[in-house]
Amino acid sequence: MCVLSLPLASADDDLGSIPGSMTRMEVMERDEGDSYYLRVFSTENECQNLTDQFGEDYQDCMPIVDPGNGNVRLAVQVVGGRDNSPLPLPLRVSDETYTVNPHRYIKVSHGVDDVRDGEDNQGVERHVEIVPHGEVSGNQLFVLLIDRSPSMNANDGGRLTRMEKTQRALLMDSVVDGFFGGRNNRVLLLTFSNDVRALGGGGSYELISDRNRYRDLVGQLSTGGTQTRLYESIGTVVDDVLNHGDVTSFTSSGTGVYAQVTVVVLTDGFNWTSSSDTCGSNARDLGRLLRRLNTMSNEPNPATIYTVGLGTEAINDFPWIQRGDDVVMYDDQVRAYLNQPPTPSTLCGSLADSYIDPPSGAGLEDRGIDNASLAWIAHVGGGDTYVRRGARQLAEAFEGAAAKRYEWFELRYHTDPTYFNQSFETELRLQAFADASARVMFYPPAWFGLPEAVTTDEDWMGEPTPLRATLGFVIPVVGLAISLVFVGSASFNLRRGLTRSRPKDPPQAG
Amino acid sequence: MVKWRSEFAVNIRLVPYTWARHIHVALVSVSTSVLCWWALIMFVGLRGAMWSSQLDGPIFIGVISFGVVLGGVLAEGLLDARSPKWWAMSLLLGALLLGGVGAGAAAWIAHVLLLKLSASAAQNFEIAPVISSVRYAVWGFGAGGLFSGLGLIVVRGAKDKFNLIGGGMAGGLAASVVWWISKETYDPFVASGLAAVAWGLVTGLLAWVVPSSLYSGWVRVLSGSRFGWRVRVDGEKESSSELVVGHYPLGLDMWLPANEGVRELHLSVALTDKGRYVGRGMSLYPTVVSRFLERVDLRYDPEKPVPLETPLSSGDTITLSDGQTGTHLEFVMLPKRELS
Repeated sequence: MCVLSLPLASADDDLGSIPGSMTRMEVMERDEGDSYYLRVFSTENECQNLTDQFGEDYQDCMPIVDPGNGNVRLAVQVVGGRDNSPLPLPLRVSDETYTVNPHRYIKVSHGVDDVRDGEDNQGVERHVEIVPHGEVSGNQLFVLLIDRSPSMNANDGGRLTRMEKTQRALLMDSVVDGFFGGRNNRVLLLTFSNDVRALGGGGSYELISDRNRYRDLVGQLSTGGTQTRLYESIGTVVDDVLNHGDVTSFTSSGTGVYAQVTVVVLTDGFNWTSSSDTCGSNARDLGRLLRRLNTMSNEPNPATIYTVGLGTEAINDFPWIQRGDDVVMYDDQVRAYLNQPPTPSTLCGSLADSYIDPPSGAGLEDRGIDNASLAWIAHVGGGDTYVRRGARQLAEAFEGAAAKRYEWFELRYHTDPTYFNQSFETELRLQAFADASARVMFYPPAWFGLPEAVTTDEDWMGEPTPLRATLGFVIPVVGLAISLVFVGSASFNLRRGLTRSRPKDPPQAG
Repeated sequence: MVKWRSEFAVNIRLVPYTWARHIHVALVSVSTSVLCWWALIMFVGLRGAMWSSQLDGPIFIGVISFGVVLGGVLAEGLLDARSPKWWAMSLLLGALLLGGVGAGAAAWIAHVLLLKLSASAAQNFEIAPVISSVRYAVWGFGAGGLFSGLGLIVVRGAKDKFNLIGGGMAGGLAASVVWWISKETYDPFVASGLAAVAWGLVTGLLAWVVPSSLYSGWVRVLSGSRFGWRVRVDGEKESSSELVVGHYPLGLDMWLPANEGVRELHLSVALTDKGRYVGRGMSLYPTVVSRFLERVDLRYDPEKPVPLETPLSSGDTITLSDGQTGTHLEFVMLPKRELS
């Protein structure tokens, strides 16, 4: 009896059975100390509660594990911060493919194998896909922090100055729609040079809700100042502006519903305060800003920071990593690189000692923009970075920053089905916005199971096979058995009917 | 032109005394085991697996075993018109308790003992139950098969206990082999379904056939003035009996006219103590039993003390003749329930 009770005591009662499947799953406890984590939905109740908020079908949220085809689908949400609330992600949907580039946002490991698009060493096709859900319909605040340093007066040989290009881009309908489109959004226009100044508001911060007012204020953008205090200005926005009463009255309303904050920083050069500044000397100040941004990401309702460079890249070889053929691996290396604090050499490489704007002669600013700092700030700020030259291209960058936010997403991946012959762990790690991860253990069925999903080349994930399809096995087997039972009697009757139908020797008449 | 006569036919729901008798129980067992397995699949599909993954195997084995024994109960009970008490006992004790719960528990115990006694089994099962279960699951299937055999003993009685236990275990082991092989090619859904088919089929084929006791032997006249007349050989009670055919006017079971070649006491058809039917020649005149590729002349040899006899099978024809003319008879086995 003791022997028998041991397995019962260790029975995996805590494993969740995936509805409509024999596979069990176990969402592992998150690591202590993570301010954010990825919440993986596993039960019908959880999914019902999630999708009800957005009027979506809860079936889209239910986990699917299809061992026969090697497919997994999970519903994932980024959760954390001080109040343990969801963090909506601005997932960019490609204009060409109408899909989200999954590797930009998440890293998926199936066991010890990283799942990436393309074939693995054995030639098995693998896929990763993100399908965004739960579009945030709540308020958004876009803080536009525009460089007003004198260099913005340069026209780079064209008809328009840099500031005029910026204005033109900000006034394009697609950009205005992105900022105000159908939602109760606000825009705060700021400029920076020696300091940060607000447009409109008469001394306070004006949160623009009206498109015409927005256009008026954008038209008032002008240059001024002598320096480009990029890092300090971003720090001012994070520390002072976003905590100012004019702003917090909108971002943290009385109902407790926050408005999401997106900061878009535009510059045409380097962080520069004096003629002795070199690219490498900026590393210390950048590091200080990045530490501040890291702290911010653990606060409730953290801002997402996008950076836009107007011009061309001055540090062409950044990041200082040998680029291989494997694009996904290279992206991973870049993320790891940007997760480290900057040093003069990692920020500027061989240009560490180069002056940014020397009293005489050409400096780095004459070569272009500090794309390295912008990339670092955007990475830690959870946003994206763009380097653009024309007004139209700039507008695309602003549209990207104004991307819709989604509160959860479907993560789908496909890998070698033979990996599903044993229990496996799937690890998800967010690659942008915040440092968050999740681990899920799966236990595929060993004895019996439900039919595999039907997949096609176009729809590799396939649709779960409906239960009625199980009749496709039952009816032929039972039908054959019943038929054979009848065939026994029927053949007996038929044989006798054919061979014994008449008297062999009819009696003689009379 | 075939003129259909109802007296030629066996009711379609009954089993003729042919090859069908040997596969009938297997067909019913296959049907019920597959239907029970399907019910399990539907339950899991609709409600999810509400138990520990370690119980997947015992539940799977218990459900199939229950289906196999249920098939035995249905085959036996419906053909033999059993009493309500027998039905209750067979369903509850045979099918549910022994065939279902017992088989599942036996598979569970076999599995647990295996994991306790073999460290490598426990480790392999923990890491890759899909693969390693192939090596170890046979114990669970075998133990389940043993209990399906015990369940069938409740249904059929202890007389054929070795056949029933052997058939049950063979069915369980066959299921494990089919399950193992088909898992290499198909998904667990198809593999488990084929295991249910194999278990029902093998147990049904090996455990027992529809017994002869459910059939009666008849002698039927195929020619002459009494064409179509038939007489049952055995009585209502299960004991030996004898039917005498001739034209002696008194006391015969089957009287046939003398002018149609039948002598006073021409033929005897008997049911022996062992439940076999034999034909005995009682006349010096031709008495020929014909069957496929065989003719047996049973005419009485005065130099021998006992009449010649031959076993009779369903469908044998017997020709009684006086050398001038003759009468054709047929021996046929028909289900007893056909008569009621």
